[in-house]
Amino acid sequence: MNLQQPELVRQEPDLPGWAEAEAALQAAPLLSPAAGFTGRWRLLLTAQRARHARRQPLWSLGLALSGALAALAVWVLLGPLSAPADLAAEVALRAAAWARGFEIVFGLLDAVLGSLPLGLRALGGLGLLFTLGWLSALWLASLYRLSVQEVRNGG
Amino acid sequence: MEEARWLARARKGDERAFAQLVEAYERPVFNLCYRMLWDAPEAEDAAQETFLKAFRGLHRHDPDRPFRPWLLSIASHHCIDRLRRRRLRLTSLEDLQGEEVPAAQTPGPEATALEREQSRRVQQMLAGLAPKERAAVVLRYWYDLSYVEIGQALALSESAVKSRLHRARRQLADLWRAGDEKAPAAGGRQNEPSAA
Repeated sequence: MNLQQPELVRQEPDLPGWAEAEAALQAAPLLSPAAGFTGRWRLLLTAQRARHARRQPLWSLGLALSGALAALAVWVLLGPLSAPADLAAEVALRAAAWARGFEIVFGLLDAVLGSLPLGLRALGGLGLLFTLGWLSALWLASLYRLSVQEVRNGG
Repeated sequence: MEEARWLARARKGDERAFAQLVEAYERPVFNLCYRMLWDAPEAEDAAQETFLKAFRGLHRHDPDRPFRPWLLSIASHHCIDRLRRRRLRLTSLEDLQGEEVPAAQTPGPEATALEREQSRRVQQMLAGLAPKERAAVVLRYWYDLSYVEIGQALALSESAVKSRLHRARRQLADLWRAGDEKAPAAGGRQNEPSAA
């Protein structure tokens, strides 16, 4: 405890009662917690980690589902409003068709999108790209936040 | 220095290293929480949560700055939040019941009745201050922090700290005088921890 605070006394020389109040503050001891504080802290940390471990998959699942639903909603709501032909989406589709290494995935995409009218097809391509990007970012962020960062810092 | 080594290891997630820091700082953190909250079990909870927050947020601590003021800052903010929540809770209870929440008294192990009475008066004085002013007084008197350090801990400017301390001193003097005028009332508010 700080026992030398003369400037405080100087600042309040004429304040009745201050000198006694200050003396009481200065005489007050530093109080201790009950014995075993650190042990209790470790138990609390362990309990918190267990609780976090139980919640983490639920959080990840919830976040992913909400992201997918949001992306789906964007796709459904904005689809009819888009321009009939989107050059960027068309290029992306063609590039997808040319990519040999991903023939199966892009073939499927092409088949799905090919069955749609041109406007929807273009928007569908963008929507898929957006959804995949969004979900990936969401997963990465939630995994980092809930799995890597929290575990590293004690749950 | 030992503390720097513990901090470096704790930053990598070493729980045992952080436990060393808990052991080293349990007393100042608990004392701050008790002085702020005036209730030993709640102060224990607040101190425990302070250390949990500090462990989780250790990556935010600048290694070039001392650990103690940073830790005390977390404890201060945590206690200020608790006091605000408590005020809301007590208000609603009073609204519902129309009476004061009863105070418990458990005699502590302090050596003499005089010391207990003195301790009770100090706590009563502190309880009369607003949370941030209380924190400023505790940080100033028990931990010898400078105005700048108190400002950093409580997110206030140096001049704001000075003005709050000035106001707090006036209030403390008033409260002390008011205590002198009344006959010493029996019974402290809450459980008293030990002054080891």
